Amino acid sequence: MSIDISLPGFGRCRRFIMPVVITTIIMIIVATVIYNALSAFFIKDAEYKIKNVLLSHRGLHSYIQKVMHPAFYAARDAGKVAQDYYSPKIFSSSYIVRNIHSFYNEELKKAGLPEIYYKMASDNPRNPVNRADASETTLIRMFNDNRDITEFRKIIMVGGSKYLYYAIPFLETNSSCIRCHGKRADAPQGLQALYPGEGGFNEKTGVYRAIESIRVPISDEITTATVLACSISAGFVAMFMLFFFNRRLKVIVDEKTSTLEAEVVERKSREADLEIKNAELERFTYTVSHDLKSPLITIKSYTGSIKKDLSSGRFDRIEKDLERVSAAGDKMAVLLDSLLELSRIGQVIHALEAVDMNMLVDDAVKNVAGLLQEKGAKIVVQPELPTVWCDRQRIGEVIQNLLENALKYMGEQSKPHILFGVRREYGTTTFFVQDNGIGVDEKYQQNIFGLFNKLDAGSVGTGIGLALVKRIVEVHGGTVWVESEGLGKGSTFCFRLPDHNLKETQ
Amino acid sequence: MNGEPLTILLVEDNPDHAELVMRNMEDSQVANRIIHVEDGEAALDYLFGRAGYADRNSFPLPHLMLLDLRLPKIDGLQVLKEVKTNAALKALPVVVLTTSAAERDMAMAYEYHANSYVTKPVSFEEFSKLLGDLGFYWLAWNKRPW
Repeated sequence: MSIDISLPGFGRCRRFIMPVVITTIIMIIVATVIYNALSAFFIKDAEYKIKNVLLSHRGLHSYIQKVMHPAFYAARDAGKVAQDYYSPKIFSSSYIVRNIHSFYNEELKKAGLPEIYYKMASDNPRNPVNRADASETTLIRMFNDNRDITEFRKIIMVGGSKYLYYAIPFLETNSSCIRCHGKRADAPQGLQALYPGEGGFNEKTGVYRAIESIRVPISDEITTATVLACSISAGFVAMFMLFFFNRRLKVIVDEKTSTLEAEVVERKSREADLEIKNAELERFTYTVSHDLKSPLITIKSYTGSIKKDLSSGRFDRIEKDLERVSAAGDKMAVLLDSLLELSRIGQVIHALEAVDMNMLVDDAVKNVAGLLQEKGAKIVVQPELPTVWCDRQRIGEVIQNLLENALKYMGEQSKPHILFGVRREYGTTTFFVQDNGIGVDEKYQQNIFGLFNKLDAGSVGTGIGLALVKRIVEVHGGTVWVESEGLGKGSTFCFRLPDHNLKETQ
Repeated sequence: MNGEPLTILLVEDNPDHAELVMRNMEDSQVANRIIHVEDGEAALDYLFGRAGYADRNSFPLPHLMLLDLRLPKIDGLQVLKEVKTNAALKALPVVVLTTSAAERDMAMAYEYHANSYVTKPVSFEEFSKLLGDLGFYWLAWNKRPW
């Protein structure tokens, strides 16, 4: 026998670990994927907006360079403006664009929108506000060295907030730029007067002398992405948990259902048992009333017959008839005793104990010694029978009844022989009483154990013995049957007790 | 009575009751011959002329069968059923004579076409009267099938 050591609480707890782990993993994966996707989307969107601003600024630079400057030079050459006139407000595209951008920021502010940080950075600026820092210098060099790269983007931290930083190279320096950005001595007098020093001079054509950059805060977008990612993954988790709990619930409902079904099956089986018991009881009552009435008829009728014979002076059969009456009375007494005995078996079963079958059989053999001697029969008991958990007294009765039964139905056998033994087959243990008596026809092997079912009307016995045997064995949870190859071939009465009643001998 | 031999087959496992029936039948002097068998198997063997009952001169077909219900080997209802479903035998008058007053037995007996159902009376006088009347009715008044 094995003992189930798993505790119900532990099992339940363990059942929950896997789903929780799986849920957590799914949540993390989903959240990461969604966060990345949303961030990429928002950054792309922000980038598109600032790229627009930068391109618009570049357009402005181009307009100043290609439209404003030639128009101004034409006017100067026509003598409408002094030859050495210079003002950054009219000539410097970087000055113009920087100032336009600050107006643009003012408009943004008025509209309640966040301002956009803009810087033109050069490592050779006229105005120090345009001085490139180390990373901007690196970028200018990078754009000059890699002409196929047209933009640069990076997420940077400024004052604890995230920003998208975006930069493009300024317009390539061309021959018209050199007019003001070539040698200092070649530049307009007004320009030379305004900007002392070499800043902004000595540039060469075909190079990017500056970059334009913009940075916008993207913290809001990141927050939105985070919130969305969390909500969506929470939704996933909720769905998964729902699915899981639904499945758990289904398991619980299924368990309950199968328990209920098992109960129904058990109740049905009990009802069937009860029906069998009822039918048995009905048969019992019927047989009892019939078999008790039968000797009563004998007694009453023969008493009447005797009376009549006495009055008519016919004495020859009176003694015989009195014997009949007396025998019928005895039979009633025996029947009543046996019935009482039979009715007790269902109720009175003594405590089970370990019973040495050899000892029990020896006792039973002693009890039938008289009948044994009368029949001149020999009984052999197989040695080393197992020890059995049973009601000692009742199983003793079973054995005695089977031995008596074998002795009573020896017929004309000149060498009556009985064997009490045990056989083990298919993992079960069967005790048997084998005789070489009259045997039992196959037709009657089923109902031979029924109450008052005697096969031979003239035979001795009440017809209760085998019913008693059946009842006792069945109360023990066992089965009883007879094996016989037919009339004259002897019979073997077998009984088997449930396996758990068997306790092997040491 | 025209001197024709009349036979009764008595199927009764209780020897005392059988003796009682035979005594009363002899007293009433209706039947010439009463054949007594003790169980259902012997009754069927006799009726079908099997197992030592083949000679119809020694073992003629009965004109009436008195049948107990609780019998060893084959019970009375089964005997009744076999007789009443056999073309050659079904006309045989069968009187169920039994201790049982159980409704189920009676219902089954009529279901199998018993000609009459009688419970054994407890008093001797009634027993005698019953058997006298039975014999007289079935063997004298009743038109016999053979």
